[in-house]
Amino acid sequence: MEENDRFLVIPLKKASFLDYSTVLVKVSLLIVCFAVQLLIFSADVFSQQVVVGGKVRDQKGFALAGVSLNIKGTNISVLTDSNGSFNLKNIPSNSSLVVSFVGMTTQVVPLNGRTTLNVTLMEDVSDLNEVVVTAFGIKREKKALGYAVGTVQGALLTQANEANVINALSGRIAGVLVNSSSGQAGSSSKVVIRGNSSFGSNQPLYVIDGIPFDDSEMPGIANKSYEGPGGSSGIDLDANNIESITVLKGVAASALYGSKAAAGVIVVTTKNGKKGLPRVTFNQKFGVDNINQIPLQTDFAQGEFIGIAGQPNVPTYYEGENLRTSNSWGPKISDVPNAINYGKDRWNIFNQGSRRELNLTISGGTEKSNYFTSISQLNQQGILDPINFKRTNILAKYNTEVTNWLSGGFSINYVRSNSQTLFEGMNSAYSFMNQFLTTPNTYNPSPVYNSLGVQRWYTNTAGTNNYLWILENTKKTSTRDRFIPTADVKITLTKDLTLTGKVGLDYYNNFQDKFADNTSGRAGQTGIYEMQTNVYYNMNSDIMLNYKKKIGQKWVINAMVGHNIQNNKSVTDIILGKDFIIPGFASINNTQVRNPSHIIREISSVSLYNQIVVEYNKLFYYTFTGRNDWTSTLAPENRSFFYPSNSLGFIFSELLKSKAINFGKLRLSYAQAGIPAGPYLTKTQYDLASGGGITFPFNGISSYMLSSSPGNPGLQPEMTSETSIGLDMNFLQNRLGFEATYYKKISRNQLIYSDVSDGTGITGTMMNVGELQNNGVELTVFGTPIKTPTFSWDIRANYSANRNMVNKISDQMNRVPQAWGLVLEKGHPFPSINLLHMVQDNGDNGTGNYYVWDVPTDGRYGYYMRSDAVYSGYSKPVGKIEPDWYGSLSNTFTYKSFTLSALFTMQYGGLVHNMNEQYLGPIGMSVKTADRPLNNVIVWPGILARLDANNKLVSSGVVNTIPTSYTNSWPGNKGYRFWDKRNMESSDYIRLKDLTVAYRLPQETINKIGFIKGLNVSLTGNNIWRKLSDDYTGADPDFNLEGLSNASGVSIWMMPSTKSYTLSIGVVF
Amino acid sequence: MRLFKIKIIGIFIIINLLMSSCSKFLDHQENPNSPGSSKISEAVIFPAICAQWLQRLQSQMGGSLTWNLQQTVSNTGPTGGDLGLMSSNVTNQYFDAYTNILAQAKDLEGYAVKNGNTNYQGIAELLQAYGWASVTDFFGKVPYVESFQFPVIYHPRYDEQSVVYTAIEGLINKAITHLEDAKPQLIIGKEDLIFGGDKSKWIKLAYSLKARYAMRLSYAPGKTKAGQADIVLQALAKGMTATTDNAIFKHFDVTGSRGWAFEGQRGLSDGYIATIQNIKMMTTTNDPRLPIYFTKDYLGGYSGLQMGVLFSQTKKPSFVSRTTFMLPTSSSVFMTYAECKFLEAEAYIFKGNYASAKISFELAVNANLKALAVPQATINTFLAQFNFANNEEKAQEIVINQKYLANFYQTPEMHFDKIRTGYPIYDYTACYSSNLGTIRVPRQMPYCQGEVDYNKNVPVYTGTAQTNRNWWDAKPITANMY
Repeated sequence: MEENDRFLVIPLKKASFLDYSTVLVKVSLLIVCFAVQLLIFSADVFSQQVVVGGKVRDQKGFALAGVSLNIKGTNISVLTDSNGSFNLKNIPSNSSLVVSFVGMTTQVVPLNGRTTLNVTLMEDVSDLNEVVVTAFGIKREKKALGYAVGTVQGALLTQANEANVINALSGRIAGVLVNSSSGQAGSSSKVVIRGNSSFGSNQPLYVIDGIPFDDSEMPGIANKSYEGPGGSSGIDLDANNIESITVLKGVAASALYGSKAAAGVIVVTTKNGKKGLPRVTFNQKFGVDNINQIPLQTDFAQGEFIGIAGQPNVPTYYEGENLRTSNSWGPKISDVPNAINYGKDRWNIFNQGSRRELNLTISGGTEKSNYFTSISQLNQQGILDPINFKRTNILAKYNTEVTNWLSGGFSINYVRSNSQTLFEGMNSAYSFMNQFLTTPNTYNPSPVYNSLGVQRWYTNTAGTNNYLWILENTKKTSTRDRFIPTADVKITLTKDLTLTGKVGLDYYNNFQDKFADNTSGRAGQTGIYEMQTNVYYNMNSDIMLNYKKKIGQKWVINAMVGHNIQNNKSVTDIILGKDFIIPGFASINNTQVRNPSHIIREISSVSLYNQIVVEYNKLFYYTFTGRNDWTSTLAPENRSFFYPSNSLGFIFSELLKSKAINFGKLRLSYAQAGIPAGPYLTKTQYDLASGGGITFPFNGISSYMLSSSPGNPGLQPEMTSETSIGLDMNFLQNRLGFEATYYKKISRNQLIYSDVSDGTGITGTMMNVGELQNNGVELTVFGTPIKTPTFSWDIRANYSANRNMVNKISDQMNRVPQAWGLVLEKGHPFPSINLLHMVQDNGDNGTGNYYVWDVPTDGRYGYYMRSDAVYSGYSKPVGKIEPDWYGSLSNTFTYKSFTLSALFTMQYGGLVHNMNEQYLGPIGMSVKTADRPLNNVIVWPGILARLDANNKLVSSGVVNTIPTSYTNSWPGNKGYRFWDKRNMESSDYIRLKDLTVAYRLPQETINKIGFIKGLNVSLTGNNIWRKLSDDYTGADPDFNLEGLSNASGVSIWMMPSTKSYTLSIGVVF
Repeated sequence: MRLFKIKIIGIFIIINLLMSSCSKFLDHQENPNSPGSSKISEAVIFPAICAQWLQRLQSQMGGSLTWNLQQTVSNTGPTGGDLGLMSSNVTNQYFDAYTNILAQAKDLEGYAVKNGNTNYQGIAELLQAYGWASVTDFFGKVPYVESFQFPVIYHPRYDEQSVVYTAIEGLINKAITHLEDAKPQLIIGKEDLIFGGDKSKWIKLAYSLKARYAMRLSYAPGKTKAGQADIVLQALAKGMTATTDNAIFKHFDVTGSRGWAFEGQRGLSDGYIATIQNIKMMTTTNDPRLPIYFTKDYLGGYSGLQMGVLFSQTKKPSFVSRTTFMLPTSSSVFMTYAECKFLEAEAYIFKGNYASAKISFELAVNANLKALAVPQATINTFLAQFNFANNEEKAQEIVINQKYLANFYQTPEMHFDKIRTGYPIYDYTACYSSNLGTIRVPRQMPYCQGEVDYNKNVPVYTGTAQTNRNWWDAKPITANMY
């Protein structure tokens, strides 16, 4: 009795519970150690049991859970557990087992005295039955789920030829929007599932074989906007090792992960060895990448419009050596006798990028054990000389059944990723694309140096460099060594009860440095060498107790309780060095000024969770999950949170028994999940002092200063609730089908750092505010129009539309401006583009006219008028980044041994902020300036109007005839202060993302050859065709300067995207 | 059976381990990277506050230079268009006195009061006075009464400038009282980056700042010139008495320690361009500072660029010399003895005491020129030309013009004097570009974008910011004084 009481007390009493968590870590480690020891030393001790045990798998080698094994002629039957294992006791050795599972062909297996039986069930093609991976790697029949999941098989991932395999998800799953950040090798990939559900991070949780996998970005030392997005560590995944990626889209699917799961979960399952002789596969890929050029004007020379008072402006040529200007407002190049048009050939500086990928796997297994080892190397040479990306992956896995009640396995994954990139973004001194695109057509950047050894450049503007100099004298490198060891063990306690333990570690150290030499003769710059070392450690341990019971003929109950501990720690060391003693020697030791800093972050969490699945007669499947998280990042009184989920699958086709409808399921779900706060946000800190342009220690004196962003002790996690309803149907012997989902997500308590009025005495703080809503539909239609023994045609189309809306920020705030002119504003989607916008009256006054200043009083007359022009400064949202809809269409044709597949992806209705234009316009390099008035006089079309004293638009109704300066009316003039709707371009596109022709050597030929088991050859084109919106003039509408952050859709000075061709050869021995 | 037992025993071991108490797995809210308030003392935060003061000075100079001197444009020359201000042009640095110097000084005051250190308390109050003035002088109405009340008040109400100035006077008086408190207490040491711990100089600075802000109100409604002059003269009696009393921030030629003026212009190929106004003002008086302040133009003489005229590479005008104010080691100047004497001169003028005014004026000019190593004979010759002619307006113009040159590139007082008095007079008539229109040096800044975005109480202008006038900006002005 006493034992029971103590047992019950544990999970209910929160405060005392917390103390047990470290012990739990130890216990889980103990279990694993114990298990590993058993695996290694005790294999023989228990093997004499008189039982029949074994495993049931599908033909892909997946273990099948819930398979019924019935002793023929009796009522005795068992079900396989989640590992596909079963165990039957005291049965006649001459009996036969009837092995059956929905969607599989039933088999009758005579025992013939065997005590171990491994059964492979073949798919019954007449029925739909897919087993999918759900939370915690639990494999469930897809048809039993009350929510939508999307799965992409490994073969499609390798076919995409993406260095970052996350990019390969693009277009494959409805509701999943993937953006790459830049065309540089090694760039990040951003995934947003069912719209932005947080004002903070919207990145999904990555889980590999049950272990959380860090995908944070390595932005380098300074901020991303200034130097370009870094690579996200998700690039460490090797597509060659991936069996499948499952995206848990809805909150109901992901709720079991509790906090962190609000934005969805990407579950990666790696490959396992299969029973049989060692199987050796060798894959090799060769690829080439070609750049997509960015359009520029190529007709006009460097120069200025110069005039005398009262006279028209005349374009005047500046040759860039003695007469220098940043502008390309000169005459037509053809009209200047000595000018040469170098601009036409500027793109010749880019190379053809190349990729080489090697992968070798050896795998195999016995009745009880299997192993999988893989080594891969990717070597990507970028489109410019210093840019490259290299990655080596080594994976070794081993799984075994020690006895009929004990099984387990372990794996170790080592990754080394190494990238070398150029600066992107706003750092004009070192940003290659900035200098490259702004160079006047008539200026020859070569040679880099003049006869005095001083760098040549066409402009006097401080903080700029010759782009050829940048190529040779700047670089950013990142090297990451990563280890992911895991171990798991499973103990069958009784027939219905199993205990599973899993422990894993994600550990890496990432070394980054950035280097820019002392500039040769350019003003205002000293060399920089900055280095950063990140050590990241995330330990995860789960213990789960599973109970499965069939009650009568119709009811099945499957219950699980689990416990999770996570400890996440990262240590970052940064040294900022400046001023090289010896120019060109890139070492921190060679810098005259060094500023080190050391940053520790530690987050721990403890969780209890459970899942109950109740199945009735294969008709209803009800799932409940609950999870309580305790997190270290919040104050003790706020750190406990509970996240429930409910989902129901109703397979109504069971009732219909219709021949036309093969399958029909109605899905309903309601669930909650959250996002925790970051560490150290609850208390006010003192920072190391700075100010007035001086840095401490100053003259030997150091100091701390009060942080102007105080801590907030009342912080809570964000909470997202989602309701969804779905319908899945298959018709005509499964030749046609669809999956449709409608969801409504409300996210509250958003954690946001918001600035407040300086008058409050603080700059801003983290707070829980806001309500964000996402409504959306997802539709997947698939079909097989043609299917003959030699030819088949499969089609799959995805469509996703999401409507995002900020319902509320707080009682005090209706808007929070974000970086890059984006805004979070009540009543608008997040993020919206915020503009000091031109007054165009569709939206303002309703006639579609632009308004033009009618009174030449303040130097702005004749300009497009902006609503803020009379010093109000009020800007407003003018558009959204998120597309109205996005989708994909994939077609696969198979003829004998040939396969042709094409994947088109598309999106419509979103905007991007192409900030290149903001700079290229005012200097006359934008392609939009190609059609310019040669006297610099323009009469902007529009209606004369002005703003009255109350900022109300007062229109005279008169059509504008006032001539004004063309150059001065570019947004961005006046010191680049304005952002203009003209720089907001449509992100619509349709592109041929993958086109693959594959050939598989026929079996009979292989048999003749003898020494190989298979040979595949394929040729793939990626992004080889695209149609962008006519008004888009940037590098790629997919790009995202801010990498994984919400400030998507902003791009400035990014490396252009590429189109690629890859030849792939795979041999199996 | 044996197996069953092992299982049962295993479960109990787990349960027991669960039950036993253990260390605090979730307790790491304390930031290991920076200290909390329990570890802080006055001396640890004071150097940072000195740096924040420097930051205020720079922010003010940024605004003053851009609009008043019209020469911070790198190589395209001064353009009138840059005077067309909008909120989006006004970065928060002009307004963030709240979160840097005021918040920091209040924090210092808190520790000083707690520990009974009136020295630091007085300094903290004095710096708050400076902080309030630095923000209200640029913007007029600013949040005062409802400020510093987050999270109770997100949108502090804006108060009249007169309210803020009353507070400034109060803070300075309190600062003087606390600094003059002779009780034994913590001595200020080398953490004082302004006076190196010399308390007597803080007291002199407090009186001098009292004079500065009293003079600011000489035309304010409800005040009289003579009344303010009395306050100025009274305060200055205990103010700075020599150039060694100057409140300055010394810089060193080491990265991160250099002067702001040097850092600001080092990236420019030629430096800041001289304006026609500055050159004219100095050539008419045969000012010995001309070759010190400016470089020679392409013809070997001195010339400035007219606003609106495009800079020409081949016909370079004079540039602000990279020596006097622009050295890496040039000190940043908060207030000088010379300024005190100019204030005194103006106060005597308001009192009608032109003889005393002349003496103070000459002491002021002398102090400035001597610091620039101008020979005494040259100074005397230079001074001889100025005649107050017992005319208040004439005398004020002479004093303010010279004060402008003495403060040139040093303190933003030249900007606030221009607004208050109308001097020096700028000549806009030659502005050829129609773009310039009626643009003038702004009398006020539009509220910065941060306030527009986050404070719903931010006042909305009728008309333009540059014609909006401060409460103290009430001197009747003629067109050419604009």
